Amino acid sequence: MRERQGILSNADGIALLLWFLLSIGGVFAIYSATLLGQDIAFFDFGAKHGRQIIFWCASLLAIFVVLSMDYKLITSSAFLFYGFTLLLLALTLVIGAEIKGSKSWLRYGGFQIQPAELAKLGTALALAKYISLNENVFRIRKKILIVLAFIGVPMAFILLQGDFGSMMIYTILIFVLFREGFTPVPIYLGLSFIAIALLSLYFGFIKVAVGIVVLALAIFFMTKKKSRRNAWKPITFLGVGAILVAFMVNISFTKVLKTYQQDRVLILLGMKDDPKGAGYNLWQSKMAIGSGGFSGKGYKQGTQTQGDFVPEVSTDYIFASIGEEWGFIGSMVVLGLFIGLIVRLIALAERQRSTFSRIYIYCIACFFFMHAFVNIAMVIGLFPTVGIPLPFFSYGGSSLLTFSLMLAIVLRLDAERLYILR
Amino acid sequence: MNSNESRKYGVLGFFGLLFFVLAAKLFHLQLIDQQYKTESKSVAVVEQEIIPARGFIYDRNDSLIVYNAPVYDIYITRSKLKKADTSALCNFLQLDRSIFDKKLADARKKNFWHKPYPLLRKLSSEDYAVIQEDMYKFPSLSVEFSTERRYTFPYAAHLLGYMGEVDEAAIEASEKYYSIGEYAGQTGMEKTYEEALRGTKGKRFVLRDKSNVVLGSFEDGAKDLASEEGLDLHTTLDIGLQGYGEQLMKGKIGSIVAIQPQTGDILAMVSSPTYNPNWLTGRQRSAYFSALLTDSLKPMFNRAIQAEYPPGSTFKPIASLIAMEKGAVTANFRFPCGGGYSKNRGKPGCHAHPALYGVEDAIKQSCNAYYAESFRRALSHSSYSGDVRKALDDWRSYMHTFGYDKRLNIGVGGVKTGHFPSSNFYDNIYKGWDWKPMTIISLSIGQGETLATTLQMANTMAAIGNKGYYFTPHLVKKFSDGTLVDEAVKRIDIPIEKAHFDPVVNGMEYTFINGTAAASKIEGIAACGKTGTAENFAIIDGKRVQLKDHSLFVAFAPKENPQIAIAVIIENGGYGSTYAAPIASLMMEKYIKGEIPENRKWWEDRMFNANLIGREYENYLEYIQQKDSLKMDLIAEVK
Repeated sequence: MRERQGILSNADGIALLLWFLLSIGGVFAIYSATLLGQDIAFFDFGAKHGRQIIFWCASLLAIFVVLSMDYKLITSSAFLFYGFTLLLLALTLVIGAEIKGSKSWLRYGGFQIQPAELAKLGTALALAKYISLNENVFRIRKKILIVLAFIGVPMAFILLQGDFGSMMIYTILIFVLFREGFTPVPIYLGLSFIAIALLSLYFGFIKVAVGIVVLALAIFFMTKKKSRRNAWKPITFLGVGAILVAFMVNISFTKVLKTYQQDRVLILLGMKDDPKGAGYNLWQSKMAIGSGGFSGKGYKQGTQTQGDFVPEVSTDYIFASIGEEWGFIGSMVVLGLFIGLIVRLIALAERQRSTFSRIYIYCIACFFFMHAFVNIAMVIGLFPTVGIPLPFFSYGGSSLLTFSLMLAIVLRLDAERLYILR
Repeated sequence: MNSNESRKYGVLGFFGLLFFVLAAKLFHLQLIDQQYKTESKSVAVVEQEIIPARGFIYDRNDSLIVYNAPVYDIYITRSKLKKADTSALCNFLQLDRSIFDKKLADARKKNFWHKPYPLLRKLSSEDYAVIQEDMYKFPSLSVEFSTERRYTFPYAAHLLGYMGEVDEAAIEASEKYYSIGEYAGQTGMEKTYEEALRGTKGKRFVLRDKSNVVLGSFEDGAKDLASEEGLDLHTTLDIGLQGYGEQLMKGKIGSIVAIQPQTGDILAMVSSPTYNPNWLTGRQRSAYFSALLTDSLKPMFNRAIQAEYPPGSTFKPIASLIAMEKGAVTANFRFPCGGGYSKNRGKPGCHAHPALYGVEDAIKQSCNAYYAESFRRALSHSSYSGDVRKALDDWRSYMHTFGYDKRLNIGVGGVKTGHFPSSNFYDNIYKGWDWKPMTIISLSIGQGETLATTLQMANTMAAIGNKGYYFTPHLVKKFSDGTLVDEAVKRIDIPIEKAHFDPVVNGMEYTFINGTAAASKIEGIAACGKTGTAENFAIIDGKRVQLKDHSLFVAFAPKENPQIAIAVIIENGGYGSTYAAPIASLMMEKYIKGEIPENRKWWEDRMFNANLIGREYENYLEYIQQKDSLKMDLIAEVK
């Protein structure tokens, strides 16, 4: 067995470096997005970027604290922590403060937290714990249901709070289950569902239904004559299912969604041109990013973002500022840093001997991916407007601290890997 | 180690594919697509709201009572403000430096840099004219034109309501229709009909550069959205009668409600003391507002609908109607009165009056003993086989049909329900006790646990004048587009035999001929009325003290096909015949004849000049200045 060494020497240097680059990049991006042409000092702790600096220091401290923690404390308190976050979620529903239509903040004095952020950490820990405790968990139906409940319960709470975006983040955990041996069928079904939904909104129900029938017939006649006897049943089943989905999507789009939600979807599909109404934010952010060109307008020189034309530029739309001021190069660097972090996390996960560590790290990698993808996709108009922060970049202490904490636990678990016997 | 390890390629592949899509889109957006580069040459499209004109308010004769006047808001843009300019700017606007600095700090806190922040609000045209010429010297200043409410008459403040800045909660509730600093109706009709009055905002898209200079309209206004003007409101008020009522009530505490019986239209609703609605507009608004709020006589409280009084003897016409309908008494029923109710040890007591012959006399003389007996008979009627609880609840259900103990929604908020006790109510008071008709006998004369608003009393007069029905009283007729405002206005029929109304109405007519209100007789008009005096207690220093009685009078006129039904309450005004009856008769005469004949002018003068509160509201501003609050409040206004 190896000697235990200092805290830092066992922590993964690449991941730590990526954290450093992303979070410092975030502070600078927020500084620029706070200025809006004003004259504010970098170390002005009353301004947004100043507060972010304070939270950056707190995050650094949190990483050290986690790294020096006992490994067992993490694994043994997984369920407890999960239960605690569920409690916070429930509490938010009762006494939460309502901001921008969703009731997702807990306030106490001047202090406020968004329990949905902590709940991600709790879910990752609990999921890792449960699957690692139960061998062959995906062979027993009851255990599959328990696993799904671990993910579904916080999702339900968050949806009740009216925070659709945060709820959606959890769906990415299906890839963790897939990696652990769960059937890929839900992923195929989910992706097909999205495809059919988009097509039926874009082309209308009738065209899509005809398309599905034609496709089903084509597949049927392309199968060999011998196997047709067995093939017609699943083909009919899937075809009817697909038509039903297309129908339901059309109905619920017109009947269930509110007008502003419909507008967001229509604008996204390019079926509604509305740079001023519901599409205002998006149009402004696309204009900012698009005008950045190859190398950008220079730090603090973005005319669109500095002119205060892009709403929420220091939080959800921070990528617009980066895209405008650093251009295509800057966007690629940020995208590259995220890709690097996610690839590194998956590599770390795969080298773990403990199932708990592997699953936890996978969960975190998935969360980082989903946040980065959804946020950037939203800002450049590939995804409907949902309020999802870009990890490490969007202004917000609770978000920076939680993401750093998630990563710190990854580093702590990974540091332990060598001392775990296979 | 794990058979599923190869699945990591699936996960990585999926993630990679999606990231590739992002990269491709960014490549297109930033390098290929020229659309955003040309459009964004430091120019952006900004959305400006077009706030439509708020609807006017008219009275029943199409007199304009509420309209809009232009006002000017001065804004400051921090990015254009030069430090050296500050003191010159303060001098120019005659603005205190500390207030200016505070405004700037607020703007900074709220991140207003290129965006103009409101500095001075609601300057009148005259004030603006003074500074307009030299404003160009201060490029950081800009002006926005808007409108503000003005009132043709200094009347009906409680009913019209006032405007005020929307708060956070209202902005949320409106789903962000309003934004910070906008005005909306806060009380009265301005609040109830806010959505129709305000209209619908429009949008205008203009191109502006980085320093907020507007360069022109965007795509020639193709995407602009026209605003929809607010609808005008036509009320049922007769502003002349309303004003006359307010003049009569000057110096008195109380209220008047006048209703047109055939339609339920509220002709006038006076609450005194009141205020001039123009006080709550313009720059002096908050000075007046805080003075009104802290005034011990509560001038902002609408006593006609928010105060509840024991109806006293004005309750007696209803008591007779219900007793006759239940068969407890006939129109000719007699009962000896020896200065009190003999069956209950002389309680309630009664005043000296000639012997009575039936209902007509009982109303005319307002005999308490008679009403105690007829109430007792109704509650002990054989049809209830001794069940007093059932009998009381049955009586109460008749009260409900008259509009008592329920909310009459007239078109402004805050209407009180009044109260008529149920059997459960007494069960809770007399726990375990077997309460009897004698226990609750004071109900028979409108005292005890019963309460009513002035509105309910006036409405009862409409119902009796119509001999058995009324229309739900309301303040608003229709909007200018012809839509009826209050679909809820409906005819309510009272389940009492029409024949029973005749002796009651006759008795009420005698009240004016030779009864308790003979002195207030109106020449040429057969008016019917009923005086009332309500006992009035207050807790002072922990002791229950009896204060001077409230003076009550209810009436309608003329007797046949009544045109006006009215209720008047003068708090601590003594007997009903002293103030309430003369004021009611003057109001009715004014409405029906249009003017008061010479021989009654002395009555009018006497009422105009009677001052029971020892304070002149004419000089309210002086009154505030005495309190030395005006100066302070004006500073707060500018804050």
